[in-house]
Amino acid sequence: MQVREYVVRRLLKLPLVLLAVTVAVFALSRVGGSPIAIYLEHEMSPDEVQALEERYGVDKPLPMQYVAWLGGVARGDLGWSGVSVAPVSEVLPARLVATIELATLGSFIAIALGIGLGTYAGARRNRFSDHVIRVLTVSGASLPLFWFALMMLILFYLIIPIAPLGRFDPDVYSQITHYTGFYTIDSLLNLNPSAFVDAIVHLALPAFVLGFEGMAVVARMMRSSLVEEMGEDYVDSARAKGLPERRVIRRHARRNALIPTITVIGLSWGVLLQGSVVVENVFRWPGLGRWATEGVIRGDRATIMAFVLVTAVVFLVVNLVVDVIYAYLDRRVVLGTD
Amino acid sequence: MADAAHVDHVSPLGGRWQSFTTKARRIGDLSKTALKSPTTLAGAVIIVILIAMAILAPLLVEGNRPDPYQLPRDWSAINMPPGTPGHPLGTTSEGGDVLYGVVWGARTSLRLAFIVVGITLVVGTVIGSIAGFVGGKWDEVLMRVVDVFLAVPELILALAIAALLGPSFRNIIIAISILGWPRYARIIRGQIIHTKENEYVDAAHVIGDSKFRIYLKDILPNTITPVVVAATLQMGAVVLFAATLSFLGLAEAGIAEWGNLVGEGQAGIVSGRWWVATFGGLMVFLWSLGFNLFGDGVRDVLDPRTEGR
Repeated sequence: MQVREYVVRRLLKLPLVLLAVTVAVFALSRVGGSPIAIYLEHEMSPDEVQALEERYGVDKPLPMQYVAWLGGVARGDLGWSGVSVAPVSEVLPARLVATIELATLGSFIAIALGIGLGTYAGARRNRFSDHVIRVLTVSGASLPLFWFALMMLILFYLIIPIAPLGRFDPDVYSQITHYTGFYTIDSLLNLNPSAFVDAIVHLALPAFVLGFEGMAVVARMMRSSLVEEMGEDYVDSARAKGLPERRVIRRHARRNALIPTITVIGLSWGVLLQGSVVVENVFRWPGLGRWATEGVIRGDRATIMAFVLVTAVVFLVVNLVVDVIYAYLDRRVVLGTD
Repeated sequence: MADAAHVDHVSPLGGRWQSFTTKARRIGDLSKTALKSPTTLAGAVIIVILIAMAILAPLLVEGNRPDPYQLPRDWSAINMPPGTPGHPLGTTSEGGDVLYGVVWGARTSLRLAFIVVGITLVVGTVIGSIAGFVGGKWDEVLMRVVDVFLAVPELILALAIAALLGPSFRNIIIAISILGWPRYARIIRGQIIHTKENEYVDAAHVIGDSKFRIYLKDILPNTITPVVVAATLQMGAVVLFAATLSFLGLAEAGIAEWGNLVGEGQAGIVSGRWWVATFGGLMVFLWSLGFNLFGDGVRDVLDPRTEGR
């Protein structure tokens, strides 16, 4: 019952936080000068400027502007993207899908490698391999992602030329029908193996780079929580039963050590979202992050606002899901909340 | 009488000052213990070298005029590889000297780290103190604000703030400062709430000390230790963060900053000019690694539970 109560309470809180985020985004867009500045020209007369202000509602008080903007957002009107020369709502879905495809594979890599390395290191505490992994994970946390991405590009584009830039080979991409927008899934639905290979070849390096940072975070958490679990009584009793060490770790200690790690996986999704901005720029991936960066450099407000809003929503929802899973797995959490 | 003696021990100014100096000494001792670990020592060595480089920059490479934080341009030597006479680490596509960027970039980073950590620490301390010490409605409101800040990934917000303020390194500093304080506010609030429960705080109330005095002399000094660790780790993190933003093109072109160097070198990589991005990024990596290793080491010593993790 308590878990359900906790979930309901979290769900009720979500709209409030989302509302706060929209206020923040709107406030941000009004900090750096007039929002219609890009439409203004030097030759304009004050009357023309006023006409523009009226047209975009900038002459109204701020709260009313906010309500008008929020209403537009609710109807799916996110403004005009100067960078893409199209309405934001038309460009956004394809960009978002490209980013989700990259981030999903990246997070699989981060989780699989992180849990694997973390378990390996935790089971060999203070031995040589543990130290090697520790150095690897600490460097992973200090590594500037943009630099790591470029170093990988030098390695796999210049020195060993196997990694392509971008998301697809246009010739292959145009052969298939795009049902979902996910290149990998669409290529499978089209039963087109060469398109699938094309998708994977383009995805592999950016996803690995993106996953590497998250891997470091997950591995660190996994190691320390495994070390903690290995000191528990139930591990001793499993050993006393005569179970082989491998089985003790896999069936007993690792299962419990995974619980705190799940929170970190949720947090690392945020890391991944941020990382995708950098990775997309380096590998010329046509996703949300690269689009937003173009918008940022050209001062395209509609694009920036849409990006912040969408990212915040995705991040909040993912965090909610993680918290709920965590609450089901570890009921002590629920007792500890207010 | 026993009570009086107890109160005596805490009430005079001398006693409180002593608690402050004891804290300071304790941090010194902890650092000494921490430096016994080879990784922590390595971190400390990296930090010392980079800070020395930042301070001695004008002696190592003569400053550009009028603005030493701009790369000097040598239009007769663009895209030169490392080893070129006069340009030991090569030049950028606009003739900027990479070595100059590496050395003066340390100075840019040190300045940035001090400004950002300084601002966020002060703002975070004030807000965390109000929330923790005054409590009640203030606590509720301030912590909800902190929640909203922490609800959205930092880089995304920083990108938006810096973009809307306009591209310049100063605006990057402003953006990071706006986002950095909630972290300290949270630590300090928690620490204060914990410290408030101590008996010597009750004793100070009993002898009639003013609230502010109690806060300043009995409570604040006790929040120092975790804040020092957080600040150390932040010294590394903010430089990495700022470098990411200027890599994405949010600083002014040609600024002597490591992330900007990587950004300027990015386009050349596809045509084989690896050096600009490589050296610039390596410096960011070293800076951030140094502070992470050192900060981790200090934290391990402070919190024995995390030892060996």
